[in-house]
Amino acid sequence: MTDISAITPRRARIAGIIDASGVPGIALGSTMMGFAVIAREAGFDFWMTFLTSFSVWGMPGQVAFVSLYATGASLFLMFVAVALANMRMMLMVISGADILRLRDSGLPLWKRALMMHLLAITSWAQISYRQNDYNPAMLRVYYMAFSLTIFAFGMTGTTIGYFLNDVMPPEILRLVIFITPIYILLLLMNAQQSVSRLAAVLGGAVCPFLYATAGDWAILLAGFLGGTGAIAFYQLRTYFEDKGRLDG
Amino acid sequence: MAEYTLFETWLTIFLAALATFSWRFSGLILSDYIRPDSLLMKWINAVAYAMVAAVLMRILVFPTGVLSTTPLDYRLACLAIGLLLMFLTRKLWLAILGAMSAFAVLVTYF
Repeated sequence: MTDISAITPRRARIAGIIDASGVPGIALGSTMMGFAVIAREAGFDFWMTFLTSFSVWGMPGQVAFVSLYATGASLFLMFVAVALANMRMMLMVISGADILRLRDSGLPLWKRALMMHLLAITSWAQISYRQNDYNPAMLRVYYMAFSLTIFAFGMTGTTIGYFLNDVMPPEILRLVIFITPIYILLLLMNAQQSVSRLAAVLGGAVCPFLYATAGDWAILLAGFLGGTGAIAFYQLRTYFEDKGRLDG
Repeated sequence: MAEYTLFETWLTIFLAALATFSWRFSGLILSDYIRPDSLLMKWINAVAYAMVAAVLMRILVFPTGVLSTTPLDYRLACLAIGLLLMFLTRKLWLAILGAMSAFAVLVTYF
């Protein structure tokens, strides 16, 4: 372990770019490629597809959006569907802003808002994984470098997906698209705190069963059940350990 | 195919962006009021983990598009291979590589 107080902004920035340029960038780029394919099928032109990735930057919401667009749904329904699909953003931002200590950063609100616009599952999981390797100020530098890099990968993926889906054979495309779920799920299982790992296992395990009856509500339900279950387990364990210590 | 005017189409994109940004912005404002080490923050963090895992499991188990042309058994088996490799080696890159290679072999040759 290196001395974290010795890390310079330059080093944090380079580390962010390098870390993002491997699996995270490829995973996100391929996910956005998949989105562009669906968007094109739904009748979006290139700029609409590009702008959707750029301004929404939240995959489940983007997919819900273009899928409904293809069916000719009302504007209101689309708004509600995107809002529901991306509701998890709020919790991710609360958690991400806490990890990055944005409250104590002294940054103006618009800058913090812009930073959080760049927050994706990938970058959130990454800073959660790396939070003890940097002090808060350097973690913010690392986060910006990492997020902007995967954003560039994502926008490149959107562009490639829109234009190249005719020449990319589906046999290759499906391999590339499989990277995202595998990478993120394994990254979650690498979380430093055991309560986070337990939450991920519980949420991930119940979701497919709930999905059959609850549809896309299953994600919110599974999140609530998994998170609450994990917290309850560790709170109870601490309680009984303390009790045992006092009694014994 | 959809019957929206050009204006409506651009409006829907604006609405989609607004729908997402509202959550991010509320999260940012709320984060100022929740103490970092409180039980509430721990709970939010745990729910975020569970929810993200749920999103990815939905994609893995019920995919749409080109991934749905692969058998569910293969997808789950490769996740298991990845998890096993990670617990044995503690190396994320190796686990991803193992899971992806297994998937490439399975869907191409079986």
